[in-house]
Amino acid sequence: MAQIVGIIQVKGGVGRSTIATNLAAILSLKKPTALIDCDLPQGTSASWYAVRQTEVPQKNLTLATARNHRELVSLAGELVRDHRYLIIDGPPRIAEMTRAILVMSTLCLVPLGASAAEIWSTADLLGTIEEARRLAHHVDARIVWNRFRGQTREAQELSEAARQELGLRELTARLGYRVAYSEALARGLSVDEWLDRTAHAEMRALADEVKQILKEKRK
Amino acid sequence: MTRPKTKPPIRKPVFDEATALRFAAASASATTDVPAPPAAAASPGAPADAAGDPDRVSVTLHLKRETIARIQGESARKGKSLAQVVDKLVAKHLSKH
Repeated sequence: MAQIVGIIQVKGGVGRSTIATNLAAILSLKKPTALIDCDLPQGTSASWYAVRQTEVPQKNLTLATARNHRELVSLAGELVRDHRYLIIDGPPRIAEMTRAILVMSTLCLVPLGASAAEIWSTADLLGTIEEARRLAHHVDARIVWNRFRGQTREAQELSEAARQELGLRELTARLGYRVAYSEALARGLSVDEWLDRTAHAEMRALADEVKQILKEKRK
Repeated sequence: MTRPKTKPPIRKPVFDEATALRFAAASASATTDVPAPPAAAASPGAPADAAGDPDRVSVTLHLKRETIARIQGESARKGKSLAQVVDKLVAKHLSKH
């Protein structure tokens, strides 16, 4: 049975496409995976895939794009038939598309940096998540800390404050503030295929945790 | 005329398409959840519609029917729109804190 992972966040530039592309690349190593880019016309994931096709032979990874929520629902309905995972890169706003992703996804990841602006924007998203939960009890949205500078006091204080304020569960795996993520993305690669071993380990840990959560949800 | 016999689907649907579409569409109709009283349209100085005023945003509030009825009653009594009444009440309350 296919499982859907939605990457959503209201604010732009928080790392949705970075997480979506890396997760799609790693999951597709073993299982057929579809990456759906819903952030058009920006289309970062779609551009990444286009570059990737010239770099790495694509065996298990396919790309699709959706311009509105109806197209997304219809597309996902077709892709779940022959893919094990669907990774949806959402748009940077609370629109019909984001609402559809929330309800469709087995697991929603909410990338968040330890900055006040990003935490404020996530607070805006909370109401929609609660609303979705009332309609569909399976809705599971969890924070993924991105560009996290764990050694700084500000990051520690902000993440603690966000934990209390937002009340969302969070993944144990955290992504650090590393240039390797943007370098790999620009080359159509996952950070797993790039040079920085620390980034490699971070993303592998994230993918492993996501797989574990999805495995528990299959039971 | 009978339909041709087909195999029943054995795979559990991954997600409910109808629910996803319904929830997504709900955001588009959020401002129509509570109809404005007739007095609002005729009242002078009523605020512009949220869609036309960049300073106003639309939110969906799930209130008790009783509360909505009270707001509607107050809005009819004052000849103001629901948004104006709610705006004033919230501003009045928040200013105390």
